[in-house]
Amino acid sequence: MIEFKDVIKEYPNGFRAVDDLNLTVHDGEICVLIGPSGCGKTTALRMVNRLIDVTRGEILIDGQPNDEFEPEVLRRKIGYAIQQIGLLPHMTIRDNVAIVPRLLDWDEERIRQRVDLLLDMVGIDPSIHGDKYPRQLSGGQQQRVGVARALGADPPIMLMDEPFGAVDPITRAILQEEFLQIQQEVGKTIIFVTHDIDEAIYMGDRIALLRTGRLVQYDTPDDLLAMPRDDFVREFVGADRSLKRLHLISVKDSMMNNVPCCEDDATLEEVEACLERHRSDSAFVVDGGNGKLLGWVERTALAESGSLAEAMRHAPAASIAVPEDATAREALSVLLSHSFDVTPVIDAEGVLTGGVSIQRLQDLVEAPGIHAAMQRERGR
Amino acid sequence: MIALLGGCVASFGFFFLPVIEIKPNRLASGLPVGLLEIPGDMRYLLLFLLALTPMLLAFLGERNRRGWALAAVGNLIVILTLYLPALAGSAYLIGAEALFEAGTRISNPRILTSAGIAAGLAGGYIVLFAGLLDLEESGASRLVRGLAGAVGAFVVVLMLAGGTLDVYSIMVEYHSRGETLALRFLEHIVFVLVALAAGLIVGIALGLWASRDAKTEDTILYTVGIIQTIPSLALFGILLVPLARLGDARFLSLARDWLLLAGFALVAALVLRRLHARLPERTRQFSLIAVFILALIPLALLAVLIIAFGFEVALTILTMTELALLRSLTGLAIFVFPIFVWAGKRFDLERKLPHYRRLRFLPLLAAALGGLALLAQGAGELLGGRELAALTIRDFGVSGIGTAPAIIALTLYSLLPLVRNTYAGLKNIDPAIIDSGKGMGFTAAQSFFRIELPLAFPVIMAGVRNAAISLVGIAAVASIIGAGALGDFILLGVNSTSIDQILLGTIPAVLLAVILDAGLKILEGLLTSPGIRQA
Amino acid sequence: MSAAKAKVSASSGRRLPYGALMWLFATLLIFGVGQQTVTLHDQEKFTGDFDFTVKQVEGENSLIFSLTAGTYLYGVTPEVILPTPTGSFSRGDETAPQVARALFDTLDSITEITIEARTITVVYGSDMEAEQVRSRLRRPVNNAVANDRGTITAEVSGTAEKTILFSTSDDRFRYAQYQPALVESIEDYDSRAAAEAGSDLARFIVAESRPVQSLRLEPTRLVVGYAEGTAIEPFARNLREILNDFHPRASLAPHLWLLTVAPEIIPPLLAIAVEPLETGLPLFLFTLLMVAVESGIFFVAREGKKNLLIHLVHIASVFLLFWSIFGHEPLWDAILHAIFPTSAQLVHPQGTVIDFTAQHLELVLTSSIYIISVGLFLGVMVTRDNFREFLPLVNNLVNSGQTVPTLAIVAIMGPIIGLGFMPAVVALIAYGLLPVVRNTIAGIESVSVSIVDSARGMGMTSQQILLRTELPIASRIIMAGIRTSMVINIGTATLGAFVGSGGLGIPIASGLSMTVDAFILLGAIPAALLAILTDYVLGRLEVVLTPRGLLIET
Repeated sequence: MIEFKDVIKEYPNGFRAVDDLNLTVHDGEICVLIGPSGCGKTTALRMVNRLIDVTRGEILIDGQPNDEFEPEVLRRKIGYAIQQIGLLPHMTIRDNVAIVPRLLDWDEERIRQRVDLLLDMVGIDPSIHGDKYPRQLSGGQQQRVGVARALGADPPIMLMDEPFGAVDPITRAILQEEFLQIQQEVGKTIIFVTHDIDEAIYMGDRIALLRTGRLVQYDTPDDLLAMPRDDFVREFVGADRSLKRLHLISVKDSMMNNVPCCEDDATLEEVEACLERHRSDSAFVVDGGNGKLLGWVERTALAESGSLAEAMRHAPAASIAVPEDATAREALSVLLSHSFDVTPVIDAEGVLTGGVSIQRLQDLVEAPGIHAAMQRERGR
Repeated sequence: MIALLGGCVASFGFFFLPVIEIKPNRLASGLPVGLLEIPGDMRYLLLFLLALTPMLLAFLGERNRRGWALAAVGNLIVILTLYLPALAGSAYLIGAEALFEAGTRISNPRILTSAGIAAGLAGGYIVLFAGLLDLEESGASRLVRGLAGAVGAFVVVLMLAGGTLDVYSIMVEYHSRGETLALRFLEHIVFVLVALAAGLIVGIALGLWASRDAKTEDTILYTVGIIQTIPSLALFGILLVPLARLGDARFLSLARDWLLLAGFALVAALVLRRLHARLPERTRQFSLIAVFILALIPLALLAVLIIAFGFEVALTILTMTELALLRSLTGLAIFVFPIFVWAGKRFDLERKLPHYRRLRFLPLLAAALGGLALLAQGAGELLGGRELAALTIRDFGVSGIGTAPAIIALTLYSLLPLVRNTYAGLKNIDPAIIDSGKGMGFTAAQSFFRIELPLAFPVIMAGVRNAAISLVGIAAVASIIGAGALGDFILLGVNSTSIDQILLGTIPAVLLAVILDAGLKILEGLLTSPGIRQA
Repeated sequence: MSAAKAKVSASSGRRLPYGALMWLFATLLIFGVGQQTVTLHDQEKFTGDFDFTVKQVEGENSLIFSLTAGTYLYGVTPEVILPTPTGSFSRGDETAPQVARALFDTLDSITEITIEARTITVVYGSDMEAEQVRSRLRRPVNNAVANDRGTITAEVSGTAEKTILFSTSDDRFRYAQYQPALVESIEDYDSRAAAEAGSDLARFIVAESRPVQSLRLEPTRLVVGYAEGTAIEPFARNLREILNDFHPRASLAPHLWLLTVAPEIIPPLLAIAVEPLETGLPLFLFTLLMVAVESGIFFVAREGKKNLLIHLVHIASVFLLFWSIFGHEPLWDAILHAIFPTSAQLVHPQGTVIDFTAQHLELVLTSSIYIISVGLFLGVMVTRDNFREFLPLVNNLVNSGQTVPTLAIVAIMGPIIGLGFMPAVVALIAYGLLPVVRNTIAGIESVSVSIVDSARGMGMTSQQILLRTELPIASRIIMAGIRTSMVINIGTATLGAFVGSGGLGIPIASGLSMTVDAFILLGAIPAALLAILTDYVLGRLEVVLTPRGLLIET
């Protein structure tokens, strides 16, 4: 647990980089510090391992003030990853990851095992890349090594300053996802600095929004999006905050099971009845045998056709439906690109399991913060 | 094209310039002889034809073949340019009397190398260079190219050793003055190495300081820059007065004064450190400068004494026959160290032998012990058996004229490249690397030795190489103020207008510079991590 | 952002006209120092070359010493330089020019003097030894001509002839007529006590000579009253010696010296002649003027907007300040006397500091013309596509050339070319070319390919690309090379003394060979100052000549 208590950082010229910060980061949580540039988020982060000294107030680590340790001793117990990565170019990848264990005088055998484990964990093959030098790796690989190095001596706490900031968006998305998986395994207490609200929402268990050194709002991503405290927060999270919230909600959580559908061997009358029942202009057609989504049929087509087989439109399930583990945002996207009232949801086998309607999505977005719990669960 | 140029240079030399000059005695002016004027069989023409071949070869299309051909021709030109005129010279010497007017005093007639040979060698070098360039482009390996380039030089060395070229007057001079030359060469080396060592300590310290302290960085860099602009001869002259006065001082009284000064500076520094926070912002800088100057005087005194004495001791150690065994053992230990390092890397001993990382410093330790013993012996030889009260600073080698101003000026001259490169090397390190190191828990010392120094190392070494080369040149000037070294030969040559003597001083100096440069390059390569080596 | 802005405005508000203050300080210093008059201590150069005719005043115990040669006032130059009056003259010849008469007066045994453009032949009687005559005549000959004494040699011909031949290596003897000067205005002392409170010369005379009772100093005459019963002959001889022992005195106030640089065509080489020029204007007036100029610049060009002219004014003024100080010989005499109080020789007999400095500059400037033109040409050539093949060779030669000691390059010119000015210039060119070629190549290579490419894309010809793109962008690096080259050359030029090229190495070399420490400093200090000054001047020029856009740091 990391606690900021009335922390102030004031420079000799009177500038306050961090002003009266109170913040508690619970064990195993990712706390994202975010805010516009110059808001003091990096300063706050660097005060934790005393790269910057606190002017007033204190920072407690598991209840103990961090200035009770020698700075070097403290830092060796805290993982540290930064945007520029800062791999030591004159050391091999293995040596880089082994830095903190060596500083802590682990024996070489244990270090070797640990290094191989960590490199494997971040997706770097130690037998191929282990003896290479940082400059021989791509940017994404270097970021992975950076994370592995921060995990080097298995510190309970990690400080990450835009650790995925220096790579292209696609690689970043992959790294974010992989890191969340690693975090599921290791369960560190992490302070994570970023300026990218999407990253914050995706990565964070809690988000602390800072402005000119002051904490503006500290909430779960969902609550932050649902209930921005003031105009600044509202503006910062963006006009598309509703869309962002949809990102946090999975289809599984938001779908309704009751969608207009009929089996492919149904008669036209049965289809008609189904449409009536759902007050819908179209219905999905599934395989009578295994329940897989085959296509859809529209009310206008029914009148002109002799049978359902003639009236229905075949389509590959992937192009009109979303899988169960997709986000609500993806469901909305599909909804917008087809003329259905409802986006069908299918499971891994392609069986229609439910649907998401626009009405349903509206309800979700308007409800304040009810999905915080679900999101956290998904994070684990 | 380059080969063409080389061929032209060589042909021009052979065609228009005299290759040798025959002198009836040491002083009289000589009789110039061109290559084509040499009578007898046609073999001298061979050289001339050889010089023309690059012009034909230049039009050969295929890179690899042309490269080999040019390299071979270049080497041949170099060898034959030295060999054939020597043959002709020997022939001339047999009937020397007939060549001169009656009444010319003939004693020890000699053969002078002349401009034609210089042109021939230059042409040969250029042709060889062109050949090597071709070979490089056609993808020959570095080793092959090195060997191809060294053949000529190797044969020349063989010829020198075998006495084939002894007919030239420069070799005559060499044989008669060889021992003095060896001593002067040794002095030269010691000058350069002691100055470099002292400069390295001071320079790295200053470079480190400049890179850490924005307030003093300009002052430091500017000051070492100014020192560099002062002409070497002038700096020797300017050092003369203070050093002469210092040399007259008695050791004991100076030691007392020094302790007083140092103590005063220390007290002042402590007091000002206490006061520092309380002083108004504007005066802080001045108090800093005041302490700096106070500290500078005793430090500079100490440095002067150590450097001058260090030089004397080093020279004594290297020339005392009693110390030969200890000397060679220590040298061996130093030589073994890079082999250990190399072997560790090559055979992966660092992983196989658990303590290899520490073990490889063993030879260094041995060398240090040997060095200490040598130092004690040398210092004892210089100062031993003297009355302490009668000891003057002059006994430590400090005087206005001679080695002291030379070695101190050399040290000062080495500062600019060292300080500048240390500064640049340290400043150019990505701050993120240092920050991440700090964030992982490196202490300041660990950060310096394990991160900053290794990263700045290639840049610092470039400075060391730079300094070494320029020091070899400046050390020659030091002879003017009576410091010995190879410049002695050059000055003697000027006074007696003997080009042989000048060359006898110059060639070893050039060789020394080249060898030092190459040696330092190898050391740099060995000690630089492959992760930061330039591709 | 606003804080940074505030800081800027605050600091510009507090900005001081530092340039003007520095000049003001220099003015005060020069004025203060200039108030002092000091005795010149060099015993060789500043001993009076004085000669007197002595006349006894009838009926009085007094002698009149009329000064016929020499001056007690420092810096008084020969007033008239006469064309060569040639011909043979014998003793008592009324048409004999003053030189001949002066020589006849010096020694009775001289019978005949022949004066030619470059020689003076003296025939003397058999009563004297050749060496004696030569040493006695040397000073009068030196006094009679305005040539440097270093250029005058005396040769004793065969003993049978009894002749001595004085000749000069200049193009001719320039017969000079001094206005002999003892004091500036009449001083009259009627007793020893009065003289003891009088001027320096008066005090000196009474202190040295006991019989003197009264003194009257006139601009060219000294009237001495002596005590009753003094033997006149020894007294007169003694007083002559005393007067010759008195050293001239000079003010420490320097004058403004200018520098004239003229290229002279000496086939086949173009050389530069540097002549120092004394204006007679007190230096402190110049520095005072600079205070005004600097203040003007400060108020006109406020926000650091400095144009070419202002930079050039800075460069020229600083140079002239140092140049003027070099030119003031009493200052050097005083400084060296302070360092070496016991040394009899202080300033160099062969020339003044400014002469050596001018020679030095001549060497450096002459060689620099070649270095810059050839170096730029070579550097540009090997970076053109047609000649790019030679680039590795030139790089290789430039780098390996560095390993040859400068002393060796200078020294080797002696046996090859001979002694003098030219071999030194050739050596300077050889060594000075390296940095210029290297930096020209480096500068042009540093221009990024994309810039050249876009220039080509805009339709520039390769000549335009060179002149409008590559050279301007490379200018800073090229200028740095030229600066390095010239500063190195100033150092190398000091070595030129060993091949007889002249320059500031001369005093150093002769100081070392004659073990006169003062001479060493006399060469070393100006050489060091000149190098630093050149570095400064070229550093400023570097900034001036660099396109402004390149000075902006990113």
